[in-house]
Amino acid sequence: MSTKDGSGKSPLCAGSRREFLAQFGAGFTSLALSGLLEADGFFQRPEVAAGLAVDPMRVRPPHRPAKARSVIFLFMYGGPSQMDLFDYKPELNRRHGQTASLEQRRRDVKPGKLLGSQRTFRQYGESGLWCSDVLPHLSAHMDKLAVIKSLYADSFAHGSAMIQMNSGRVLQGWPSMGSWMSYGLGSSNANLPGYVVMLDPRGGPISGAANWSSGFMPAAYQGTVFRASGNPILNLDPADAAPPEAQRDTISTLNALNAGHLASRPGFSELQARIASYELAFQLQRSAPEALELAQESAATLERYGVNQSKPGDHPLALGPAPFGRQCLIARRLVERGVRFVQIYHGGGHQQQNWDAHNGVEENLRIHGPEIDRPIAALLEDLEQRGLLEETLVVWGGEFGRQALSQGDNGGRDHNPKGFTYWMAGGGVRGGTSYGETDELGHEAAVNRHHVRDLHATILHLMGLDPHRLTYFYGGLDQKLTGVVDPEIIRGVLA
Amino acid sequence: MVPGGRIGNPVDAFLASRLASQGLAFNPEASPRVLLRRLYFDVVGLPPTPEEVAEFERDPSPAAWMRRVEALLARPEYGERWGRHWLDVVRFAQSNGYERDGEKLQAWRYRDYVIHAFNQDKPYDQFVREQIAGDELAPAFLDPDGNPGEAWREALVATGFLRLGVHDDEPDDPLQAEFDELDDMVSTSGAAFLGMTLGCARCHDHKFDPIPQQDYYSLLAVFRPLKSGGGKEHGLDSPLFAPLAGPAQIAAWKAAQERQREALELQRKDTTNEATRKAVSEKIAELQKSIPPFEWALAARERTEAVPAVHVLSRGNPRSPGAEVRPGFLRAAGGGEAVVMGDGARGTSGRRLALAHWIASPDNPLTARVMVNRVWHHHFGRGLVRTTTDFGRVGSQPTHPELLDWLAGEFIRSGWSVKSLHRLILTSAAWKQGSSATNAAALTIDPGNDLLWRQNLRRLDAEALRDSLLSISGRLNPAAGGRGFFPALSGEVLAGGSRPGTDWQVSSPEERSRRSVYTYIRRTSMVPLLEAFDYSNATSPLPERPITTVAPQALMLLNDAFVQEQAVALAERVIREVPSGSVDERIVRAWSLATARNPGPEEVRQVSAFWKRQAALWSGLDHRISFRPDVPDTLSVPYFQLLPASRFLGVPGPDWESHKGYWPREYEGNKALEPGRGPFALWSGAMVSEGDFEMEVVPQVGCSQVGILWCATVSEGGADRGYELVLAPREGRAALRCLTPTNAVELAACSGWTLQGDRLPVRVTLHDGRIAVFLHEDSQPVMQTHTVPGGPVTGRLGVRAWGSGVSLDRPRWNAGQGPVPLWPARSREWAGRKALESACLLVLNLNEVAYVD
Repeated sequence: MSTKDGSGKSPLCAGSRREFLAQFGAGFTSLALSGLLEADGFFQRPEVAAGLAVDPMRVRPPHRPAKARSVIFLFMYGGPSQMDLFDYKPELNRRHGQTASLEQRRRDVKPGKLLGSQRTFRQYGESGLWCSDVLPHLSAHMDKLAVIKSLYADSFAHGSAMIQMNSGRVLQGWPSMGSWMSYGLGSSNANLPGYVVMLDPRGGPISGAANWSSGFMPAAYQGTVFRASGNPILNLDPADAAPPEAQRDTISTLNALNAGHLASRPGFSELQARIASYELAFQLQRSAPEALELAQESAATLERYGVNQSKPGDHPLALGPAPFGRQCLIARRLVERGVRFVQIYHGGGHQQQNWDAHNGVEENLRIHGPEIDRPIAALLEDLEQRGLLEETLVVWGGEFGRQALSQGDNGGRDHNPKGFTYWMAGGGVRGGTSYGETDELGHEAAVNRHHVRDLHATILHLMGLDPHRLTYFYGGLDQKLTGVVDPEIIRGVLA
Repeated sequence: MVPGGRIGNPVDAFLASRLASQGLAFNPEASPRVLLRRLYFDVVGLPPTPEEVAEFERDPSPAAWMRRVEALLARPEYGERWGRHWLDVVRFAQSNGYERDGEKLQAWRYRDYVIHAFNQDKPYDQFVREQIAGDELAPAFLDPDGNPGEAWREALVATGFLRLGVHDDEPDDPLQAEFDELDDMVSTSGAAFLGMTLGCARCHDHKFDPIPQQDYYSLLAVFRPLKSGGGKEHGLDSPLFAPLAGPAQIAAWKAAQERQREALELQRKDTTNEATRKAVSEKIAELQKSIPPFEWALAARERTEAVPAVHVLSRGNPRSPGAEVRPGFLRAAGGGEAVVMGDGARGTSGRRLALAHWIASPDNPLTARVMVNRVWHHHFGRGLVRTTTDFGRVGSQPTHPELLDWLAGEFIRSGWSVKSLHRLILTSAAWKQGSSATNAAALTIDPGNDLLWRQNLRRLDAEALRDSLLSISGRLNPAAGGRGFFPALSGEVLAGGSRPGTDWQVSSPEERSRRSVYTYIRRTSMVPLLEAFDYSNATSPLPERPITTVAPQALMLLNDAFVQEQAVALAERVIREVPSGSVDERIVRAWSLATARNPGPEEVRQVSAFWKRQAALWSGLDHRISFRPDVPDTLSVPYFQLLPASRFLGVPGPDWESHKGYWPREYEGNKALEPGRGPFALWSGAMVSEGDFEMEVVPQVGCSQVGILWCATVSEGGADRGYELVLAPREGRAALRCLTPTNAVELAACSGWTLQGDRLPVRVTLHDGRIAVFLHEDSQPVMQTHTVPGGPVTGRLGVRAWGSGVSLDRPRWNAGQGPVPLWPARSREWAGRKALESACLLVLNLNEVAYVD
């Protein structure tokens, strides 16, 4: 959505901005619901007035025909090891134990011992894409994936790298990608939040809510934390355990009184929007828990996602596939219901609780590989069988990758933003694609290098958004997710 | 009389003539009640009491109006209201952001300084100068005898302004990060004081405003002498903290230190004992590290070594320096190379002082206009220039440029008095007119109300809304100042952090009832109630708050524990204030406290009917007890210890005791819950070893696990021991298990049952070593088993809940002497009281409470 649209005034400025400000007003409210309330006699037909409140989550047309309708972003927090998962590096393995000097932190080139992967790699499917034995279930779906092996980012530290992967900048304060989607496209289901975030039971990622912040955009565009069990959304149940009929009566009576208030103040659509927001809150109390009703799924589906698998006994930090499987299944249910952007954080807290394998990459993979393997395979299969894969973009990756050098005594790997792997599948993606290369050690993106902004631009592009035209006016500039440097869409992975 | 309407003062003349040119006029003046309520929210951010409204309605004369205006401007709550507006512009927060999001110690002093500055009507030019260069001004504020007074302290604290930006304590590129922080100072100063967006000139000449890149770096050079850092170390050489002590005090402390050191040195020299020598050496080392016992401010500290040269940086990259620049100001706004008054005695470069004088000058074309416009914005809901922090070409043009100029001139002539500006606006006919949007001609000609033919209807901002709830409920704690309080964060919110609850505290209910401006602001744990209502993001300068209306706001005001507490308090209040009154009288009181008007008969009828329905509902539930869990699966260890067990699981009354459950794993500073062994509550009634336990289990929608415990005791580690019937209500599964402090042995399981409506009737019997579970009043047990040899034989009854709350209807225990109820005896008035609380919650949710006419 460009501020240059149609205002006919000087570029960027007053007119369009005012128009934008005038849009704030109704939240998840849908016109249909307002209509319903009208039919109930709640309010008179709204008169045209200044500051007409329009739903910030109203569906807005994309800039170009979209390939995908929703995104499921599987965020491997901590930074998964590319050379142990998808980026097969026989030269690194051959030179295992040899000394090499590599940049280990920014401008800090130090010698270290190369650490070859101890995983076994094979080529899979018709495409012959490489995958290691960490992910035996997912490897059956390599023909669906476009694996980008040559990404790079700007920070060796989690804090700023996480912020960058989510918002394009290493600086805190900019809107996250889900906020940009909500702002650009709105949400097609008024009864659910448009931008959902699910967290690992072991804790959130570092910097917490800053990762799904809407930055300088209105808070309505920030991610909504959605719990995979229990109460999915904050304050869905009354704190005093009042029965649902009590709440229903409260909302009905309240809205009747508010209708009276509105009647003496004709023309104020914001008052009407607030009435509608209470009605929607009531809907949300039913529709949000419904998304968690996994009893509606077949036993085979639950089995496939690993939802009922018990916690493995082999490592105290390992959870097995159940929690992430549950979240992946819920993600499918959410996109089915029109949620625009779902982000699941796999890994929480610190160190071996996530992909941050300083203390041993083998141990780390043993913990986390089985947690994601079946769930992701099931998600891809399930989406495909339901015909949803072609309109859902699945994105997998972390905030950076890892070093070719060994760290510590247990074969750990340190952070590495210089070269790492992401994969995408689904809407508009050419499956079975291996794109780009790191150097022979897997350390630095070497062929078809792409900055994180290019990944963001590609995701926007697939969602029908033009990274140049999706702008928000703040601080004297038309701000963009991809920043001031021109991004390049990674065309090599497009179908 | 100028065509276009009444003229309260010269402000109106400007507006009325524009209106008249379109054949329009101001709306009629709003009613005294509306005016007073509007005045209260505008000036102090709190509602008037019904008594204050009534008094003004009796005498709404202009003189009475002026008395109200003066009285409110003199109240301390004025500074809290208007100081908060300023805090938005300067991206105020009390933490650094990023991974650790460490506390910015002493930042609260800056917040208190701002509040105080507004309260004492500190001349705005002085306010500006102090924030930019208070440390450089301060020496002039010392008493003749060299002692620091209040003015001196304020000037120093004010420079905390420069230190409020985000700070990455683990930057990828420290040099880049240092320039990012300098950029934050340049951008925020430009935004706050000049209404200019300068950040774009960091990488290239500003595309729309006449700000060449060179000007940006000249401004950056002004801040370059500042030390950088984000740590917590206090000390005389600290990069961030300055002692709130004058030169004499510091010298005295240093001298005392020196004397002590000399004495110790002497002692060391004199002794022959090696052990004593070592001990004395340690003492000396300690002495040298000791932090002076002063109060400290987060403040500007300049480096003592030479200031690095500043260059124009190609694309903002500190590794691509271009031409060197001198400190200077925006040439387009009349600035040029800075005339820097370096002063060896002061120990600072003088650069910021020069900038401060340039900005806070009557000759600066922007400073006064920008502030006047901000004040206007908060009185009318928008500025004469809509984009209050963008006076550049990209921003909007002023709707009334002459008025803006005139106001700015008045502002300067009044000695930069913000309160005088308020007086001018608050006595204008423009401000006092009604907000109704029914004038058909005006709606056609000027639907956007650019010409101000009506006052704007405005929604309360987050703070005014929360503060109103406290004020209406009678719970508002007016205590001012200090580090701030910590609102209770729910489990859902805590779960977002990588160390859930880290750096968060537990404040008392009284503390939590303070005004919102005193909320501790941590950048990665924003308070949902405030955030939902478009609070500042506390990270970048926020010129105007957006106003959104979304469903989560309704959920917040209906279901949030804080709001429900206010509803309960309001019910208590109206019972107290109308002791012998009818329900209707109490409803009228609650309504008038909330809206500053008495409800009409139809409104009373509707709320009264609602009360009756709710009373009937609750009286059918007088045998019910409820439990509510509220923590995530993982908590940081300190917060785990800090949180009382009652926050892990809310219980229905004093005869129930909360326990935290079994959290066996500790890793990287976090504690993790053993799944299924979450918080539980034990009944303080009789110990049981045999009998029947009966109830109807009513899980709330989100409730994923309910446990019914018997023969239960608490182990030292906090886990429970005993027998448990585990119900997963949404999945129709049940299991019987025997709990040891570290283990849970499943004895039997069943599945396939469903809730009967919203509930599940349950009976557990324990007789002669046999346990049986009956569901749905079936005569056949769904599970039956023997007790475990060596297992628990006696203990308490208990309940566990996870996911969301559970209620038990008619829970009772029968050990052979007849059923003993586990619910409290409730009087007949109980249901009426609950219904009154519901009615109070309803009233707090009225649109009329959230909007100001």
